[in-house]
Amino acid sequence: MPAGGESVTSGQYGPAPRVSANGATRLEDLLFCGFQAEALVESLAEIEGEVSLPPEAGATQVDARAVAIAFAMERRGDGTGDVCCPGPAAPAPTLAFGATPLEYLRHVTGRGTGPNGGRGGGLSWTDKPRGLIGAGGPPGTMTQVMAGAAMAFRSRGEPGAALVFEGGRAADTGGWHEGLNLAAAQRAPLLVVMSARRDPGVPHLPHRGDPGEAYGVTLLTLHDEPLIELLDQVGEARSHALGGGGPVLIRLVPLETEARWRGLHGLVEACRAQGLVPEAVLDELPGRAKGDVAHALRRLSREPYPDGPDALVPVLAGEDRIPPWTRQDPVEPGNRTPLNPVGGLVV
Amino acid sequence: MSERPPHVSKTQAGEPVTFLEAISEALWEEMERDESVFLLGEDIGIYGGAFKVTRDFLDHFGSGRVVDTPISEGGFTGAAAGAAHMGLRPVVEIQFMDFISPAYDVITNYIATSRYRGSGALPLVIRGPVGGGNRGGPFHSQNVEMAFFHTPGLKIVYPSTARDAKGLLKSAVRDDDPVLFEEHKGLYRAPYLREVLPDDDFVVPIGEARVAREGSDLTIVTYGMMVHRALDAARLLESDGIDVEVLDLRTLLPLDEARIVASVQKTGKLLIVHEDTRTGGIAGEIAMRVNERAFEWLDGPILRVTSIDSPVPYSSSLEDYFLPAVEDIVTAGRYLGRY
Repeated sequence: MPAGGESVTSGQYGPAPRVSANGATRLEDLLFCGFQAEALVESLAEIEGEVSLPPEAGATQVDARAVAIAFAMERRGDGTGDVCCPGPAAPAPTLAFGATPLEYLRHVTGRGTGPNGGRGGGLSWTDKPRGLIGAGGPPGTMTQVMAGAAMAFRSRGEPGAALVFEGGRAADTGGWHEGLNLAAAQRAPLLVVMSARRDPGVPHLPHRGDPGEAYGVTLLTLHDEPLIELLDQVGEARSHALGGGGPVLIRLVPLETEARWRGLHGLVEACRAQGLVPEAVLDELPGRAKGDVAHALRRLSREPYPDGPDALVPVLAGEDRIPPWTRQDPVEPGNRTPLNPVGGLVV
Repeated sequence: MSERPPHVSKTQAGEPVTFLEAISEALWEEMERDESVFLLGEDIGIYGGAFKVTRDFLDHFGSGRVVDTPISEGGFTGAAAGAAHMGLRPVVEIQFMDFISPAYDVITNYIATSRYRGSGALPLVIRGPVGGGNRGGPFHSQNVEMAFFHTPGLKIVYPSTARDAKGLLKSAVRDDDPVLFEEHKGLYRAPYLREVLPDDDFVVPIGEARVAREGSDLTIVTYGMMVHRALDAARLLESDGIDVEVLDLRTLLPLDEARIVASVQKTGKLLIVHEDTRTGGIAGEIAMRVNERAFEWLDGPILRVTSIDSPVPYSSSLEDYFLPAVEDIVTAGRYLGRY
């Protein structure tokens, strides 16, 4: 159980993040992470109704591209890399930045053993060493917050970038506009992923010609490109942002439901054809990833929900939480005289 | 980097400072002390701020630490949260605190909940001018504390003297939790508040009220501009034989309940005075706490003197009627004195 109010660090939960360098194992890791994400999304859909899940846990906007985008970032797992707000694209970027399926399930189902003890929202998981910044507030909020994270990299002269996944109609909000406008004015190294809804009730920004133009920022539109190409494109976008080019908008054109994870299988075939990953590894990767998620699901049933007092952690440093006086030892009205000279009813 | 300008060197020179100069000195010294401290807000750089609190800061500290922002209170307050996640200590200026409302979402939903959500504390300060009496009308005169008082995870500071303004602002910058720092613009350049401050790195702890005047017959709990009205009233009530104790809260959240209770236990009577409007004002919370903790010591009803439940009027005659006056405090004090 983490101490209340303390920031979660990687060392406290599970193994060290499975984050590879950008070398020979990168594609293997991307595939493994992608198959885990696919299995997790399917699992969440299956257990919805059986366990308490936040509305956003349906992860309806996740697809394999989110994994590749996250893999294009500098993920170090030691607090020195890029930072990412997975937002509604969780769990894909969350896993890519080093979280395990069990940790994610603990978190999203509000278990006491989860990263914030069941206190935060379903997307609200911050893990600074891993570079994860949890979401909070309405859509658009995190574009503001991550703009500040990007500005911090720039002001300290550090070669890092911030990545934020926004979903649905976040681009319709004032918060999104203010965050992007500020980041553009500051030329901050920020990558903002806009997930265009397939059937928007009203025409919204990601469907328009070049929503980056008004902000003077670069727009990268992603369709159903091979993931290996997408990896390069986002990598170049990151370099552009780091090189002083300022924010990059990444527009995800919606995919049909059945196409959401197709990119993974395409990548497997590409790796097989070009000999990028050993055949034996490619054969066992999907099964191993799904096995991990199945194991995490079985384990989840033994993970406890937090006790009531666990939720009463301080919201300020060093603060004493005072439970309602009805849960203390109230002084009976007939015994009021003499009262506790310094206490009265509330201790 | 340029030399320290004279208007932020008065304490070093042994000269008295105004309330505003005390705030400028606090910011300057904290930025010199800690490179992670930086400022962002509208017109705080080139223009030096609407009230010139940050005059010459840009030249000295550079645009990386004095960030002129677009007019987007939500955007730059949210960005401050992101920078705080990254280990910086942002100080946000809201040009007039009336305009903090667009940032209400990110402050209450994101910033205030961060520690509780396990996302880590967010050490940032949101500061700016509040209060009426300057003929600013409804949109440049509000007191905003109670819009945030109900939000767990925030601290709210509202000083009334130059010494407290400097010492509390330094504490706020060093605090690991988010602090809302209200500065009554009527105090900014008030001549009667000029004082010589200690030329050392003093801080005033957040969460501690101050006895501004000792007394034995009646406690007035107040803060900000109303501290000075209450002190004026106390001097007038003295001629009626009523010995008034004035307690300056200084910090509204967390509330210094212990000092309030101790004072009421001494005097047996309580009058709460605030410039904020009546309904939902802090007087209600203080009255309830005294009811819980010191009911047996009360020798009279708990009363309050506040502004009228209305937007702040523009016309001078209306605004004077709207705001609590010394005469109102005296009237309430006399009533309680006779009770």
